[in-house]
Amino acid sequence: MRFSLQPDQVQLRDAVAATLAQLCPPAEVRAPAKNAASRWSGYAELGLFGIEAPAEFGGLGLGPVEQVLVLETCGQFALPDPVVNTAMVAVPGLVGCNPERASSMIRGEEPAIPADLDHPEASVRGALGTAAFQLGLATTMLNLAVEYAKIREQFGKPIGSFQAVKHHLANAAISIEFARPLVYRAATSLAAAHIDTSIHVSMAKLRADECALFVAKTSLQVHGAIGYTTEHDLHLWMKRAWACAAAWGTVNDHRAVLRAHLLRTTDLWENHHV
Amino acid sequence: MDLTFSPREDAFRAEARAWLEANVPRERLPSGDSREGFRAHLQWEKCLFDAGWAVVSWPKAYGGREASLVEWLIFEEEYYRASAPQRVTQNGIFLLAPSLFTFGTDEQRERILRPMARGEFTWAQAWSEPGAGSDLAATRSKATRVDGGWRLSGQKTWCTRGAFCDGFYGLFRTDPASERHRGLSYFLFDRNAPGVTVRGVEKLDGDEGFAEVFLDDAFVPDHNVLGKVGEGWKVAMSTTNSERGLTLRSPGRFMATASRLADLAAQRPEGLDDAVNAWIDADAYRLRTWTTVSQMTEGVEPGVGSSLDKVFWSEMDIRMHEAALRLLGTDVDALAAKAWWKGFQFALAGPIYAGTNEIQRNVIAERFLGLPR
Repeated sequence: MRFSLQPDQVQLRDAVAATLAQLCPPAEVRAPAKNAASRWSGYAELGLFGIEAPAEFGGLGLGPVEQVLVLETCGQFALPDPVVNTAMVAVPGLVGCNPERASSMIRGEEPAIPADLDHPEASVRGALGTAAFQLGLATTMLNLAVEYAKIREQFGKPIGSFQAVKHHLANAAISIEFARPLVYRAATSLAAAHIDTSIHVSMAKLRADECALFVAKTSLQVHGAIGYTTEHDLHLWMKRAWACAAAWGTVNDHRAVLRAHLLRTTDLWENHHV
Repeated sequence: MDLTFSPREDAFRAEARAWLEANVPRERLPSGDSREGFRAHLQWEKCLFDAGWAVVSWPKAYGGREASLVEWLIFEEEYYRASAPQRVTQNGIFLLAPSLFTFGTDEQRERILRPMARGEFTWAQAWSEPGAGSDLAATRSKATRVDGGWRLSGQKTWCTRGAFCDGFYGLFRTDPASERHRGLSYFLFDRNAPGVTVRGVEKLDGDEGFAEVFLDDAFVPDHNVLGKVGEGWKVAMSTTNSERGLTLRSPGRFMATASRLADLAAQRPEGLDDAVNAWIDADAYRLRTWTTVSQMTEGVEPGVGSSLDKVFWSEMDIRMHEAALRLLGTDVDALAAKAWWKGFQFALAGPIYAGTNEIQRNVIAERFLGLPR
């Protein structure tokens, strides 16, 4: 039993964050078309597309947990590119059946096409990768609100010193901190080919979506009117969260999966220690 | 990341499961917060202790089996799965004992721990005062130095099971010139000491178990001061962290509640979404706890994380019970309904005790997010 990040995983995550801060500042999210190609090359050079691929494909040979950490970080920067589909869904699917295409994709020579997203593990991987991305989006939306609340002053003090604002932000923090373990657990299950992986992924996607939507609302409220403008960056993260909530299964789709599972199961915790 | 258990941990689980299956009373005991029920629960505590299950993580010398944190959580999962009786010794074993291990003397541990664990001497927390609830540092009860000890005067309130317990622990101001959290000391005192008066207070669920305690120059010997004189706040804060998170409300409790709700919802499809939410909530709390435990094993203390935990479990507990009550209506076995009603009423107290959720949210905002005080 060890359910915490290890130093090498933290280092990987931090290295990715440092590079993405350079590759994809908010201006890129705001106007993604111009530098799309150079961003994509940058991601490939960073190794974003080969996290789980074996070394002979030019990959890092790591697993779904590291992949999820990387995608969560991508979400923090709201990468305006199909990284989840390419890295988490397409490449792992191609490695087994089309090694040349897999290698090419890992080198950043092409993004995924619909046919690449049509394999047995695709929906589980897509949902999990998107859930991780949502966590990252939520984290940034919360950070934006916290930073704003520290500097915006009204009535002679930062608005973050008012309890109503504090409580809004505390609720957002709780939402993220209790969604994250579900996402990491689903990644752990995928890595271990756990019998309930698809169930765990549905739980993760459902909660990550609900979390991101809730944090979006909360962040907007804390920002006040300025958060409602397109001039401010917040709307970019919010819209991405809304889009991710519709990708690889909506909250209703995943809820239906979980309802059905609950009806079939006599012991909710039967397999949790397998 | 590895969520599997070792063969040793699996064996521990199997042993706990088997023992509980064989020994948990078939009939639900009356509430441990009632006079009659408290006695019945103490019998159960003896039974637990004599079989080595009362305080599994403690040293063997005090009746434990030196179980790891992981094993303790496994035991809690099995305990709630078996619908075993509530732990009326919990204010002693989960709140006072950790402080005794950290700040106590060998003499205190020798004298206090085994009788505590066996239910022979029970403890209640005398924390709040009429003027010091959320603001514990506003404590006014005082201790005046005398030969060989102190004389305590003041009033404590909201002492859970204080009406029935043998002893209390609480903070008293030993430095009359001090204010707030400075100059407080942590005392253990006997309900039967001259000058101590205990008055039961009825709770809305019908149990008497709450108490007010009045102290009028009650003598307490030096060996019943826990930690250094004047450092009571430090000792108290360590207890408070235990209470919020790990030791007071382990995930097993909510896993069992979610399972019972799922059983209800299996027959009532209108409750399925609530049951799904309860299941996910309980699982999220379980997984977060495994993260906390893993980090503790790696030397990282829970810290402010316990404030997030407390808000989450207390509000989850109410949601689960509200969901059950929505489903129950009138077409159900009366005993099950009573248990859910009792559980619901108790759940309502969750956002209030162990630091109100309003305070917790302030702490989260300030210490987790860095917002200004």
